[in-house]
Amino acid sequence: MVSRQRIILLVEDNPDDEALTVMALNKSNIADEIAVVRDGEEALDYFTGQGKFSQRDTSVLPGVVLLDLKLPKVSGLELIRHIRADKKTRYLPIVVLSSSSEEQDIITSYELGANSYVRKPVNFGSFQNTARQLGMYWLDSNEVPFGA
Amino acid sequence: MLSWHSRSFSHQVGIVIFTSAAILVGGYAYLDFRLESTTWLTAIREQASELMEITALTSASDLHDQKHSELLDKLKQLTAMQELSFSGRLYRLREVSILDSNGHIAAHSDPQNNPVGLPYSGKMPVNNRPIIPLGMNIHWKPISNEGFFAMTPINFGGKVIGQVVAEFDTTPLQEERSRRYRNFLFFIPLILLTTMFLTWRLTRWLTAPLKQATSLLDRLGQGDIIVPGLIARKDEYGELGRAIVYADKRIWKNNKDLQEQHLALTQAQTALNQFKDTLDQTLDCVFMFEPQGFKFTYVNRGALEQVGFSAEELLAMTSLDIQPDINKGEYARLIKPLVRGERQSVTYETRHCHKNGDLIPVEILLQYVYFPNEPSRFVAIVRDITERKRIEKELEAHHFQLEKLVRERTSRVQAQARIIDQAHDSIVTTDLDGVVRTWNGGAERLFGIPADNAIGKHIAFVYPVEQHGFLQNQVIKPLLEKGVHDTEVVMKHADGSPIYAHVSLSLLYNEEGVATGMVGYSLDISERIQRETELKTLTERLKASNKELEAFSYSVSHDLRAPLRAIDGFSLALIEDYQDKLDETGRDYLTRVRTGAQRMAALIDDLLQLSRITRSELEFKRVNLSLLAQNLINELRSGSQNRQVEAIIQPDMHITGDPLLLEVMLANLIGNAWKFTGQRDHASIELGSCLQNGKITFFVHDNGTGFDMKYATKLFNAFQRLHGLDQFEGTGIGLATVQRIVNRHGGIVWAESELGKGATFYFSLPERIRTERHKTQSKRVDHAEV
Repeated sequence: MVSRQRIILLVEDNPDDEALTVMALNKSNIADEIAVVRDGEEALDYFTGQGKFSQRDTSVLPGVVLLDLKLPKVSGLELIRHIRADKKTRYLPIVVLSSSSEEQDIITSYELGANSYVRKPVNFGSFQNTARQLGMYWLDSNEVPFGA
Repeated sequence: MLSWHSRSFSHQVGIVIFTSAAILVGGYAYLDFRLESTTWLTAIREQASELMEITALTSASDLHDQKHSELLDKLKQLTAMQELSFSGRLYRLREVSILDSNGHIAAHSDPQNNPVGLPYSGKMPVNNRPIIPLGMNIHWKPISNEGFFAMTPINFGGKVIGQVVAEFDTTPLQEERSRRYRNFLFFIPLILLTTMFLTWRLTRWLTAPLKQATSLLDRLGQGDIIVPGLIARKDEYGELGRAIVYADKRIWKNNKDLQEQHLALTQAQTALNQFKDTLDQTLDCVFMFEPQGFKFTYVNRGALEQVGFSAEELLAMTSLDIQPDINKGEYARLIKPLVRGERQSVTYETRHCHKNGDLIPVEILLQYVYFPNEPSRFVAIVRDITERKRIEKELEAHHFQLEKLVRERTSRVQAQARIIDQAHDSIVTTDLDGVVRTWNGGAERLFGIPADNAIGKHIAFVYPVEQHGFLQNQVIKPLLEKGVHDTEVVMKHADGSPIYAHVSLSLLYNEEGVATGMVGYSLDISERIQRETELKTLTERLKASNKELEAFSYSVSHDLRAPLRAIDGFSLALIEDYQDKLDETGRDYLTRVRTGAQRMAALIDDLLQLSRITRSELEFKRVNLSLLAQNLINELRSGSQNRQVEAIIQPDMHITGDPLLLEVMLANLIGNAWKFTGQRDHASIELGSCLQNGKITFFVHDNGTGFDMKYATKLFNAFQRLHGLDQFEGTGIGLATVQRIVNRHGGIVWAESELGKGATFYFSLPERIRTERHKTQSKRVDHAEV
């Protein structure tokens, strides 16, 4: 039995961006929990309950994954592929949060099964707005198949 | 009635044989008949005489003694004897009697009717006296044709005392004779028929070889092959046949000889006649004249016509009379070598004098002919050379003209040859085997080989060995097949370096249309090939650098912006979260930090867009410019709702180009117009099209700030700004992007403006076929439609 919580999994290697994202999300006070992993490998550990997440209850899935593409070790695109390949996580909402607006990145992300692609604006005010909207939409409005 | 000799031989023979046989048979029958009847008669008489005499002898004494019964016995014996005799059946003793010397009956074969003592009353007159004189034995007397009487005297004592008288009946002989006649008459037709048949067979047998001989002769006459039937016989006919054959051979041979002789004679006669006729009729003039005095002896028609004299007139003249240019002495010298036999003929040119005084240029062939039994003579064959003289003159003129023409042509050809020789391109001709025949200056320069070293060699010597197969199969073979051929080849220079050349080859034909060689024009394309190679390298390099640029751009967009976000984000956090610890100046500073960071982010974005425009491949589509502009205006309006901007957009403007880039371009132009009309109360933006230099040109006009035209050239440079940031924000990359997009489409863009009175930006793109480029990035297109 898998349950979804009001948890946001943030996959971000840049500490500045991590801090800013968490700050923006906290300000809008949407999520119960913001789990942060630094690279794709850690993210996989998060889902499989390995490494530092060995104590975690893997039946609990986040409501949405905010994913940076440029990650050390396992890249963001590879991570999308892994998530979509796993029966347990294949309908998990994934929002790509990227600095780049390279078309190729956008196309590939969608092809692999990302649900949304958001460019991180430099203007933090805008970003705060975006983060709030993202949280509200994916955690409150969006419906996913239950128990999939 | 046919005469004898007009009958066929077989008839003749038949008739002769038949007649002979008939006569023979008839004669024989006749003779036999006659002879036999005589013989029989004689035999009868002899027998009868014998019987009579015997009776007379034996009865003499009885008569003398008057013994009549004895006498009667004697008669009876006589009758019996007669009946028994050889010829007894041919005659009969009708009656017999013995008479005494008085003629009285002494005995009679029929004593009842003729008693003794009665005078004899028989048919035969019997006197009292013996009728038959002494010495005669018997006397005969025929009784018509029925029989005869016979009387024989009876002697006794030297005296005739009586006689024996008998009457013989010869009717049986007559009957026998008649029977024979009948037999004969019966057999005659049979015999004749048989004779006729035999005659016919005989005739055939006799005449068949004759017919054979005749047919043989006939066939020989027709020249047929001899059938050896007749000549194989051993008899006279065989000899005849052989004689015929022999004669035939002789005759044939003689005939053939005769025919040949006749033919030869006829031919000779004909030839002679023809020769004389020809000679007579020849228009070339033939004169014959005596060696002494040169008097003409024969002139032909041509001769008469040439000099205009009649034959009589001319035959009374001498050769010199018609040659006014030659005197006797000269003539003597001229003919001397002929008479002496030193020369066969003499040919000379002079003039003949016509009867009317005209002088005719002539060429004379003079010969001296002599025969053993004929008077020797001169024969002159004279030809009128008036026409020849005239033609010679004309020819001379022609020749002169021709020489002139040839000189001109030659100089022209030489000029052409010089042109070919001096042509920059290499022009080489070869024979059909590929052996070089000509080699122009261009070829000398191209290959670095002088013509003298090239001519006579096979063209393969300017090809590297590894290209020989190509030369044979891709150059010469298609040329020989098609007559013309164009290709690019690799040849080699004398120094060994490769020559890349485009060769145009064609076959050369002679006047009869037969291919005799090949000509090749070689254009040195080494430079082009080099350029192509360089271009290729350059393209490769460009691709590599493009790739690098892509990576760079990616890095820029991704990594350069992260610090900016941190700067901006934390500045805002400071402003918001540490409000109470910052004074006004501190907040202002932080705001400036944020502005700088955001401006830098904008710069990065614009630069990325600019580079993307350069990198991306174009996809040409029909784009509705009016719709695009309307959408952009709508976006701008929603972005700054406090502004009142009038937008005039000409409907249904279409343009062919990359939809994404055109949107970027139009966004920049309209964005500029929006921006620079920001200070106008009645802002107006207009998008329309017009014709400029025959091309459809679009324009975006605004009534904004405008610019000074002296900066018009700088306008489209990147980072070039004409206004302060405090007046109008911007990175200065927008118009550079516009220009780059227009340039990439092959179009032009320019601007017109007056400071303070707005600006107009014009652009025009070349017309293209809609689907000119199929090779597009489909993924990008898909996304563009999302």
